[in-house]
Amino acid sequence: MPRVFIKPFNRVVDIGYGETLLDAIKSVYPEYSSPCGGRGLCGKCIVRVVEGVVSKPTGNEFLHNVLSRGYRLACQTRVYGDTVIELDHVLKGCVECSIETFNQPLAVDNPLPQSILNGLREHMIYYDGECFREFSRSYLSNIASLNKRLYIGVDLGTTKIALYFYDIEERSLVSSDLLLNPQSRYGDDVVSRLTTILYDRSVLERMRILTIEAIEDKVVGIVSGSGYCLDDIAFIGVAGNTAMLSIFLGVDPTPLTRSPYRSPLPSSFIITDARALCFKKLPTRPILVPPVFKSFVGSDALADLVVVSRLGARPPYLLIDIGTNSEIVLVKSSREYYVTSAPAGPAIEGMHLSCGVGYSSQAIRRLWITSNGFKWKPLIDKPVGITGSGYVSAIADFRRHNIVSENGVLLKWDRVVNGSKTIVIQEVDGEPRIYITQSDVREFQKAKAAIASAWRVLLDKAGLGISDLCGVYIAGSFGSSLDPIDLIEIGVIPSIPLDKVFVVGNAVGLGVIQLLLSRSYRLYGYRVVRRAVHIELPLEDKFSRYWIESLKLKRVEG
Amino acid sequence: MVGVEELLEILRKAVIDGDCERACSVTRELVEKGVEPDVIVREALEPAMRVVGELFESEEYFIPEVLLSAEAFKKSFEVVRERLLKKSFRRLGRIAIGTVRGDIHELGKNLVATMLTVAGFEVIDLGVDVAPEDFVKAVRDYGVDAIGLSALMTSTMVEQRVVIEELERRGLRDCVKVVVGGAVVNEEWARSIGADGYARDAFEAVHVFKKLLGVE
Repeated sequence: MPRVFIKPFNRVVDIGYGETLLDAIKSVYPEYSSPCGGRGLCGKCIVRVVEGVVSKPTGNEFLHNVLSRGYRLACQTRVYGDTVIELDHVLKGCVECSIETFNQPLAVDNPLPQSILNGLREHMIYYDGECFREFSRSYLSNIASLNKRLYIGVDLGTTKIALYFYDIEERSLVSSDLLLNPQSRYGDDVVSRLTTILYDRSVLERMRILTIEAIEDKVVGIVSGSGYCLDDIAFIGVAGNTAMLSIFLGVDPTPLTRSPYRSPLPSSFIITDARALCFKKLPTRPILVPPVFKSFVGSDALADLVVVSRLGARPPYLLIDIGTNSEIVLVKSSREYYVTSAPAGPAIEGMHLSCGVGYSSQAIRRLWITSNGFKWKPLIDKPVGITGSGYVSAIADFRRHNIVSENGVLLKWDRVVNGSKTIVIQEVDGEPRIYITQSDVREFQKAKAAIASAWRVLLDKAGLGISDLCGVYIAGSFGSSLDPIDLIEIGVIPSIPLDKVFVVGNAVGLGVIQLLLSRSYRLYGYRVVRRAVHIELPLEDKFSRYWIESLKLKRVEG
Repeated sequence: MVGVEELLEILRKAVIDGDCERACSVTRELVEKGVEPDVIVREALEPAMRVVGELFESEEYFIPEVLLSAEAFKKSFEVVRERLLKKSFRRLGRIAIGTVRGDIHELGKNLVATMLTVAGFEVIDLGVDVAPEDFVKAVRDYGVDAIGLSALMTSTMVEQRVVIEELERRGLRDCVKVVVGGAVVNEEWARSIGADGYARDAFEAVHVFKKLLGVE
């Protein structure tokens, strides 16, 4: 059995003859990023083979031009004998955690489980770990969750999982934390993971258990670390996109893999419990999964909407949850909702770009040009990279200074790297350390076109124009470091007066807690999901035209 | 009085700039001056699209600019086509193209179809969510020289293999060249399913089809 020695961490891994270096790395560093799922497409998993017996380079490695720099792609390199490798770009993404500034207190009326035990069971369905059954309150009566104080909201994202803890007696958020979704070892995007399941059904349960264990370890750590005990937990709510929730529940998600992309989950509030889902460390507590819309649009969009409506949003308004898979909701009136999902791709979160990092406290989150060169926030001497919001602000400012044209062509640049015009942000010893290339701008254009064409189609469907909008709400991981004016400048969102644009940040976790605490919001949520019109973008006539038009980096006026 | 050489230069520029109207009017002017259609195609339209390809390759042009140029090319070509047909102008070959079953993404496929048309192929667009039987039907009934299979999702790219297997089953595999593409597809995948070629983008697709059909 060949042995792989990983420097500079001095880890030794035994792997099977002919397995890849990526298999070796992931077995000790599951969070190691392989955005394309190990198919040799993204060129991100570069390693240096110091010595050893490995396979010959593949075409993909020539394509990514890594060989000339002395690297190999880990996913393309098979190991046939003892090998020493060196990882020099190490696990960049460290996790940033934040409690959102949410001034509005959450509404409390008929919180769960009391409302159910009082006979109020609104559109619920029970899931026993295998099947959906008609809901009966006897499912809850033997679960000791009455009069407990801690409500946990889980935002089950494709890339990261955010946890929020709310004390109903204190009436306040007591803690929050973030962890990486451990499923990423099966692919970075939803469809890659679903494809893995398509080929091997047993992976579904493995992914599910990984997720359950990761969540439960984190919950145990936080509960005990913040002066509570596990018995204090009253209820857990989980929201996410349809694929993530199907995997979490262990429901076959593969109908989502091909047209017509049918959701395998019922559009009702799903009640299940920790035992049915095989949580081992948590006490038996009920779990609520709010209803999903259709197709990929899940309960995360609903949770966002709950928070936005709690903020007093007045229709017609747009809600845009920016992420790898962006959700867009247009609320025309309190009775008319249009929803869709736009596969923006990981570039919108900064991933896959030359200096892109998903999220890190040591990365540039905002970048602009001054007469003395580039400035960025946060103030770090040696940033590790640029986040999604960093790219938005940089490209918007390049546009303002006419460094990039409306068509996305770099008009000024410092040097040419690998055939791509490059703007150097920071140089160390004459070598560009942080930079933005023409290809980065192109990738970013495609990502933003996906989002902009989506809201344009929704506005068309609803018969509304940009000037009709009373508000645009931006949710997602961009958070407070983002200045909405930058989003407007390059047309990611429609050009409307700034006092109508609100950045709500990661709203999903709070929205879930709000659903746990309030029956009125549960009824609201059920109504919204029932009434929403789901739009499948590729089937829309104007989508292609809008997508191409939206590649332009310019304001979209009413 | 503007000379023919000058007009050809203006036409080249109009196509490169994606200026449809100008391309059409200049083409008409050239035809009226009695310039042979194949000269217009050979001396202006084709070189212009080669430049567009180079501009795309060097990242100077992006999808919208390429589409505008392609449109200008097509409009100009329509003006000369009638006369070309009279002189039995031969197309490079007939290609059927479609997005595979279960996948409804058409942007990339349409771009490839446009560039193949512009390059001189006759393109039959089978649309999206195309069943393997329909690709087989195109091979059997329309006498195509090659087929292009597009897949945008990792979950549907396996359908490319299904189409190739279906062609083999019907004994039609050797009658036709198969080229695969799509954001998630790569060279290695193309080889592993026994496709004849793989193309990363629309310009490469033109190149690959030309090479496979021996018309380069």
